Order: sequence, then structure tokens, then C-alpha cells
Amino acid sequence: VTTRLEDELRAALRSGDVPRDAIERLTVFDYRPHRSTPSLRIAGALGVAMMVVVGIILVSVVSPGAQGAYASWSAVPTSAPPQQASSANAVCTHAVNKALAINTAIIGYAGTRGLWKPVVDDTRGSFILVLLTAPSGIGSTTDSAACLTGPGAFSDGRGGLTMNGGSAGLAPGKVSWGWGEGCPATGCNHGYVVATGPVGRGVTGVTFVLTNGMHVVATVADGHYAAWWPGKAHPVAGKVTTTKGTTTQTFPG
Amino acid sequence: MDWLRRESIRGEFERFVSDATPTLLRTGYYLTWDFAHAEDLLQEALLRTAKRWPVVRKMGHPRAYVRRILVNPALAEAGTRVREGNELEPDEFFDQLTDQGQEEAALRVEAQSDLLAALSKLPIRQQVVVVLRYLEDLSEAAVAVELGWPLGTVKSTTARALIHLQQVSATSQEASRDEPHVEVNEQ
Repeated sequence: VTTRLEDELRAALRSGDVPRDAIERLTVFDYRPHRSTPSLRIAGALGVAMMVVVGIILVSVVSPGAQGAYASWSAVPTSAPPQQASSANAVCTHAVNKALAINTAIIGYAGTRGLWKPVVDDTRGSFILVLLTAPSGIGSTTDSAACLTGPGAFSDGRGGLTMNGGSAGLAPGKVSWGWGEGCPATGCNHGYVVATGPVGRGVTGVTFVLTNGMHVVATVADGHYAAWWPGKAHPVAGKVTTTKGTTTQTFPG
Repeated sequence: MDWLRRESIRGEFERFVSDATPTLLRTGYYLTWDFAHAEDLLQEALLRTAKRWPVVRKMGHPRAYVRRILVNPALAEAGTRVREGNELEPDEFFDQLTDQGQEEAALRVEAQSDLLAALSKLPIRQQVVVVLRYLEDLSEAAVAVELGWPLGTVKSTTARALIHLQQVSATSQEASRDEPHVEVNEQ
């Protein structure tokens, strides 16, 4: 009797059609994790969506009036007063935990909430990009979050927040390349690119070569690198410095 | 995150999404009885899976990973539904069942509708087990692993669900026998 019922159940559960438009939407959706979409879902729910970032240091692509917002940015990291770094770390740790507290039911980061710690402070002028990591709950992998702090729109943790998941440990000398556009909630005409990821033992330097020819030196610390730059220029190559020298890896376009 | 740069892995993920979505959406529906909610849940589950794809793909059972993300919120929300007194009813799904214009087929559709309606009224844990067992065709042992439950719990939960559904099925069959015979003439 049970077998017959089980057959009926199998047939019933497979009967009817699932909506084709839903399948279409789900299959064409851009699930790539290092783009702005997942971040914006979090940011949107929080009301901490990335604010409009006007102006970049590249004169060729920004209006003169917009340059001021990023005037202090530099392609090489600078140093920040301890108090500013400490404040950025606190702001970003709070922002990440707050984001996850609200979105845990949907995003499912319950295992990592409260365990985030800053691992890299990438300072460029008056901006600090804070990279935080936390155990992912899956093996020895870690989730990471990048949080851009600075003057104006970025002063109270309402700046860019991007989340990434599942980085595992790397072999010595290796770098896990990754970057994504920070797209302000008010539009993608202006923005910035954030590059973060883990590095293997022995890596002492990471430099990005952008499509516009600019070289951006990342900050490397605690097994990770972090860098960011205004605009939408993507890296075409990455330079890795170890104790054995410097190697260059080109990225497919 | 560097999997973005590797076309082969990215293509693998996209194929997985394409292959798995129809069944996973159906699974999501039977956990929520709402296609819009199921679509949202599945999209979030796939987003999470994408973030960890380099790890998930090595586990060998990415579909199980997504299913688990789908099932956990359903189990977590079950209490809320009860407290709010919101009776979950299968609705538009039944409207989509094809009217085949034949008595036998119509009765079968009706019986399936009764069965699914009964399923929707079971406790959420029984629903989850039934869906995993008979839609996803997982063994009891596989369900136990996927849900992190003892095997005995899966067996007893399945048994309770089947006993209830058996009563519905029997009632439905009796009712169909009592129906007056109707000739159907196809034009």
C-alpha cells in the first residue's frame, strides 16, 4: 500500500509546470560574487548603500568639480594616524555585523556574525579600505568583507560594503586575484573598484596594472591584500613580489 | 572569487544552475507553497552557492548544498507561520494543472490535488521529508545526512507523514468511486 502511495506522491509532486518565466529569471541572473549585486542587496536592505562617489583622480574621466571628493587618493598606500585606523576598523566591523544581523535569515551568514576582524587597512589619503575576514563555517575557508571609509558619504560606515565568500588558504607565493566594482546606489556612472583577496606565505607585495596604464600598489598584511581605485578601470595584470623576486600575471580581457 | 576569471569553472556553475533550477524551484515551492517566495529563496541560495562555488564544487553534491540552504529557512519559518495562524494553501499551482479533458485524467489530477493539499497541511518537518524523499528521490539515509537528523527521526517522520497522506489518498479513491459515471465525447 505504501509503495502505491509513494508512487502517487512522486507523480503528484512532479505534476504541473513550474513557471517558465521564473526559471528564465533564475538562470540568467548574474550570480558572480565579486560584483556589486550581492553587496547591493545587503546595502539596500540596510540603507547603507554605497553613496555617490563623485570624481576620481583620473582627470581624463572626471569633471573638474568632482575631483575634490577623491583628491587625497593615491596609487600607493599612505599611512593613517592610529586613531583614524582604529575608528575605521570599528566602523566597518559594526557595519558588517549590522548587515549580517539584518540579513542572516536570507543570506545565511549566521555562522560568521560576530566573528569578523579587520585584517588589512589600506590607507590612501583620507580614505581607508578595511578588509575583514571571518570563518565561513565550511572547512577552513573564510568569508571576507571590504568596507571603504573616508570623508563625506563614507564617514559613518555608510560607504561601500562588499561581501565575498569561500576563500581557502593559498600555496606559498600565490595570490587569489579578485576585484569588483563598487556601484553607488544612486547609479553606476561613478564608482570605484575594490580588489581584495588572500595571498600565500612569502608574498610581500601586490601591484595592479590597470587598463588605463596606472599602477596601483596594494596593501599586503595578515595573508591578504587590499586596494581600491576610483573609476571603472579593471586590472589587466598583477605583479606579485616575493622573497624570490617579482612575477607578472596577465588577466584575460 | 577568482573563479570569475576561469571560464571553465564559471561555465560549470552556469550549467549547474541551468540543470538544477527547475527541480530546485519545484522543491522551493513545496516548502513555501508560493512560487514568488520560492523564487526569492532559490535566488538567494544560488547567490550563496556562487560565492562559495570553488569550495562547493569540490564537495561533489552542489545540489544538496543548495537544497540545504533552501530547506533551513523553511524549517526556521515554520514556527512563525503557526504563531501567526497563516494557513498555507496551495493555490495557483493547481490552476496550472492541465485539464486533459478526459474523465480518468481529471480524476487523477483531482487525486493529486487532494494529495498535495494534504501535504501542505502537514507539519513542516514532515513536508520537508516527503519532498526530499519523493521529489528529490533521496533515500532515508541521504535525507538524514542532508538535514543533519538521526536516521530514526527521518524514518518516524516519514512514516507519520505517509500514514496521514494514506488516509487522504484512500478517501479520495472512495470519493472517485462514488462519482456518477460521465461519458466524455471528444469532438
